[in-house]
Amino acid sequence: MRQSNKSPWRILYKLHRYTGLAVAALVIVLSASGILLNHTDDFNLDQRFVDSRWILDWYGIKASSKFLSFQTKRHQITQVDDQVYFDRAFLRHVSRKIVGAIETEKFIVLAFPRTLILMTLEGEIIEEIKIQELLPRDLNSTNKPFSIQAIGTNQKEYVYIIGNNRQYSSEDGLLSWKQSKLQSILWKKPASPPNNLKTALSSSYRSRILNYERVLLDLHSGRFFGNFGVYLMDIAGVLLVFLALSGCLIWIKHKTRQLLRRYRNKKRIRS
Amino acid sequence: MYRRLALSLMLLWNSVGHSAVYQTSEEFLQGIFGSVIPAPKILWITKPIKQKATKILSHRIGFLRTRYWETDGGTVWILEEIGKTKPITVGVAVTNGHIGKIKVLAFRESRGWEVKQEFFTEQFFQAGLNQHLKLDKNIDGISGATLSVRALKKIARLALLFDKSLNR
Repeated sequence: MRQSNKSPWRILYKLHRYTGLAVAALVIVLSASGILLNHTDDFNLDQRFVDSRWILDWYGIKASSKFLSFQTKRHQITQVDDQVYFDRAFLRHVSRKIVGAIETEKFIVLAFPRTLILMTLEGEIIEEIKIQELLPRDLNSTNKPFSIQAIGTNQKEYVYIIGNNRQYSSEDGLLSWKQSKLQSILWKKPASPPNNLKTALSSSYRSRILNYERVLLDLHSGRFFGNFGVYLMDIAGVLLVFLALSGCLIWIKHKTRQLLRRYRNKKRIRS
Repeated sequence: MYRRLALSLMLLWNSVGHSAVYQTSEEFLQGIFGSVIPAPKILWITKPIKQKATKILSHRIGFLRTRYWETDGGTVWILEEIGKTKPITVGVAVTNGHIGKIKVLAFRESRGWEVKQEFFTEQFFQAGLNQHLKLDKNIDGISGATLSVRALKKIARLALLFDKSLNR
């Protein structure tokens, strides 16, 4: 017997069908983003950055105008917010402001308040030196944590730093330090980077902020589309629960009917 | 009720993470050498060492030279490796080609801090490096700290490789 259009089962069928169609796109987004998030480490999603202009615009990520740059003999070392560049090449993220950068015939030294980065002339990092742990103890006896205030060099190409109002020098490629009172030192001062470098670094800076893991997390939670997206994913979640329950009910109904039919058929054959 | 409150506080403490410096490099070295720490020596990362280190780390080694301290029949290294996003600083003492002591000096991640516990680091005691550049001893992992455990194993292997490279 055909069910009437107003039968509760007919309504449940229709609701199940149209709810399924309505959440199909969201289920695909949820599943795909979920699978990818499960393999964040395998795909290095937290280390890979989004450089799509419209996604960066969507997130409101703007180019930075905070440049702190030092010109060495042949290179330009520039800090853009928390990113440091060797000419145009990205070097690393840092948490502190660069104090200065010097270049000798053999190496380049970048100074930060607590660390020195020793580099080859080609921009490869030789060693990152935590300065407080390497200064001679008698020179490092103040209670105040050691903080580099300036870096410079002289004609002999020795490296000099000032920290906690004391001056130290290293003559052996930053292997050892001693207190110094030399006067004729060329202390590095910041220099404005050329405009074309600024433009290139602004673009590079923007494309090193947002990683794929963040975007996938936001897609998964719906936050990518703001509060609306979050509510949409909430509704999708509720609808998925409804689909599961209605699907089970429909299956139980069919199975019961099938079993009843088989039972009646068997009975008829016997009789 | 007090037990429930204590448990909640414990869970809260665990959830806020354990980003901290547990011991400075100097304190670690003093634990090995006493109050007079010898001057550090330098190991240059030559091409063969670089190739092996890259194999151990599964990424390029980020420096060309590293400092170490020499003991009687061994070396001490202070190395860093990223767990998930931030570096874990670890002190490793190698004696006769085997790990004598390993200690997490600074942990900056929000998860995986359990690797600092002695019940975990004790497993590395007397571990050496086999021909495949792997530890010759099984190290049990910790649920929820997979990346930190992996980082510590890499540091232990790297310290053993560096020690072996000195050809003392």
